Amino acid sequence: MIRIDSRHLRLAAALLLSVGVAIAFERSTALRGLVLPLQEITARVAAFALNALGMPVVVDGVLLTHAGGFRAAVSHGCTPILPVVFLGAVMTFGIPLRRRTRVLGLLSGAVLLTLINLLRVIALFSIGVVAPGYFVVSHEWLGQGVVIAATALIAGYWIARAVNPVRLKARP
Amino acid sequence: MSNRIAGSGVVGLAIVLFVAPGTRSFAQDDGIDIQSGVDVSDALVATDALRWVPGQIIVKYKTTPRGDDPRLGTMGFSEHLRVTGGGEYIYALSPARSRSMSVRNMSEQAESAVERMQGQPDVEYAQLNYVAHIVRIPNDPGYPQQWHYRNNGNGNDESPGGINLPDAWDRTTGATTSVVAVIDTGILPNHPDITGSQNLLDGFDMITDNFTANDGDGRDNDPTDSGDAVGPGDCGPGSRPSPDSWHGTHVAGTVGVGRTDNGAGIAGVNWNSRVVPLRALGRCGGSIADINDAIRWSAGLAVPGTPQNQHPAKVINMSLGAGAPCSASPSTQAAIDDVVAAGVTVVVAAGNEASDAQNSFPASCNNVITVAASDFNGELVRRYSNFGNVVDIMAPGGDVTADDDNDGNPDGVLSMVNGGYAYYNGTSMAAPHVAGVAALLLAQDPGLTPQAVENLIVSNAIPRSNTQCPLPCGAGLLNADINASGSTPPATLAISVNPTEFELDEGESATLNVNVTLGGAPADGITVRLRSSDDAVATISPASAVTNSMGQVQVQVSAGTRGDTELAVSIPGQTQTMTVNVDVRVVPAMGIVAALMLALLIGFFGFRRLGVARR
Repeated sequence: MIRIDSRHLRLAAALLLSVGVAIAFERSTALRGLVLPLQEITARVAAFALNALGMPVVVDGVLLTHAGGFRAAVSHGCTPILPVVFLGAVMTFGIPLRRRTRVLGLLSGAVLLTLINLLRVIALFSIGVVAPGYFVVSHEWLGQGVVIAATALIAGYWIARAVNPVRLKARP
Repeated sequence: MSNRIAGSGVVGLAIVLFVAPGTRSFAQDDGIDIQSGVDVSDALVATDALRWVPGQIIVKYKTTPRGDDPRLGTMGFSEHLRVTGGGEYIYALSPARSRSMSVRNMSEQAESAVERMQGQPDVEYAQLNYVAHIVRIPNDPGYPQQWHYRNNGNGNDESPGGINLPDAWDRTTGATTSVVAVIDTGILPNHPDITGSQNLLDGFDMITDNFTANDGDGRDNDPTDSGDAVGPGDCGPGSRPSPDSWHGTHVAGTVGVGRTDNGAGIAGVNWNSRVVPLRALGRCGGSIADINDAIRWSAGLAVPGTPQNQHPAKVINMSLGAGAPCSASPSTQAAIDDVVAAGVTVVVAAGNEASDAQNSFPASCNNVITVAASDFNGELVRRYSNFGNVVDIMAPGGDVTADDDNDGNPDGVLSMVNGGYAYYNGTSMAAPHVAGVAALLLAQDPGLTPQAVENLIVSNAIPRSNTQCPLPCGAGLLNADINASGSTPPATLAISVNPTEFELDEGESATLNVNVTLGGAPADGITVRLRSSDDAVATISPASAVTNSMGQVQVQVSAGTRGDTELAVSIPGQTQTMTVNVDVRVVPAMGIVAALMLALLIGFFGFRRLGVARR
């Protein structure tokens, strides 16, 4: 049995807060507007990478267009914003960590999630170009699943670190 | 000073004015010193006499009459021809009566009938059926001396060297959209015939060399002609002195920079077209680098270090040249090619060396209309005009050593100079006639390409015999009376959009670019309206917008609920409509589902770890 104490409540509160932010993002156009620059940056970087990989792509705002005609928009869901919000909530409020560890965990996690998300966008667009029939299922399940799993793993790692902190052993 | 001159000749060639040497003359006309610009209004010629249809009158009754008017019947106006839209009755003399009358008697009978009817209590008014006609003879007092504009022929008000401008003016007197750039010595904006003229647009002083510029500075936005007089040796060892030419103003005056049909001064080929003065020639000529920049600037092309021309020209006149084939100055050919590609017609003077124009540029360049000079009789002026196979057309350049019309004035081209007017001769004077006619053609059909303009001018030339043109002078004498309307299909507005379809997530926005062209060129100031067939699926903001100078409009398409909609993009006055498909794709609440899954995953793992550690 797991005995519920204040630490469980803190984690639950952090997760609920994150879900609340996610819902707000889905409901509020104004909030999504704040993410537009991030969408455009994501689209630009993805286009750069795709071109570097030999896939001719032009970018117009958030719209990626392949020379062959396949086109996809980088929406707010295609940015790492929500995974970072979750990780941030967990790292900031959810678990007991030293301040330095919180900052380190949050920064490294955000960078890692951004890279994973970028790989997702590039992979999804490539699937759309090469095998457009698989794009929808890849986009709606596989891509999101990978990001969810990655976020959960990173958050879990820091939760584990909080519970069993690495301690220096004294020299014999 | 001569060391300064060397610096101004970029390619080592002096670009000079094409006024025939030693032929400047100031005329006396009926005791009026044209050069000094004194009042010449008493030289105004009476306009045409009033005329009317013989034997016809117009009567307006206070009440509708029953049958024809017996009062008019007794005067031979037996029945009315018809009733006008204004309820007036038009009466005519009966055929039986008019057969026995002269035209003069019929006119007098009509006058008598009008007089009688005007006094009748049931008549509101009665009048003669006047003949109205287009009068396109300018009332400028100097116009009678401008033989070069008259209709071609030997009759009254005609001249054998005339270019049929009165007939052409019945079609058009120019348009504000027809802009001619005159690359020359600049302009005299305070000339009495130019002051207040709406035809003068902002120009530019493209001269970089201070000595050449003679205005104390280099390039600036003031194209005022500060004079180009030089002393002995100023333009190199042994060079001769020369007074100020005011050449640019004379040339621009012929194109039509001044006020025509204003009861003062002289007329120009254009009454309403606009002129952009470019100053590229000054003391001792001008550098080809400055001229090339002036060519590009005229057309609205970018010239580093200068503001963009806000009134790009459709025609460029260059009454200048240098004594070398065009191949000696490929930069000039490149500049000409650039502006022709931009849709600008380039007119150049053939030169005044009485030799083959092949050895002069820009006369021998490609993509230009090269103009030789004709005299009062419409013949090539062999005394000075260049000729040859590169010449496209001949136009009045005049000959101030002759007075073939015996009017006491030299047969030069009369135009504006500092303080008044003067007769000049040269191919410099011939070219602006062609440039002016090109502007008239573009006023009729703004969609004409440079090639189409040249084709129209050449194909409508007045043929010349071997006697009139013993040396090659192109297609003949310039004929301004050209019907250019319908030469090109009417320019139509066209819309294009990018992208032509959207796939948007719910709530997502994207930019729709709309481009509007008129005859293939960007259409500025066109109101574009956009409408979504289903606002629930997608909305457009703004719903209407005005195109910018690039003919573009950008709007935001915002996806609403899932579905398909069509965006109709339309232009007022035309039925051009472009449809954009918007497919709003929605992954139902996937963001929230993903967030919950993420929360559950982290919660499950985190609670277990926290719980395990607790035990």
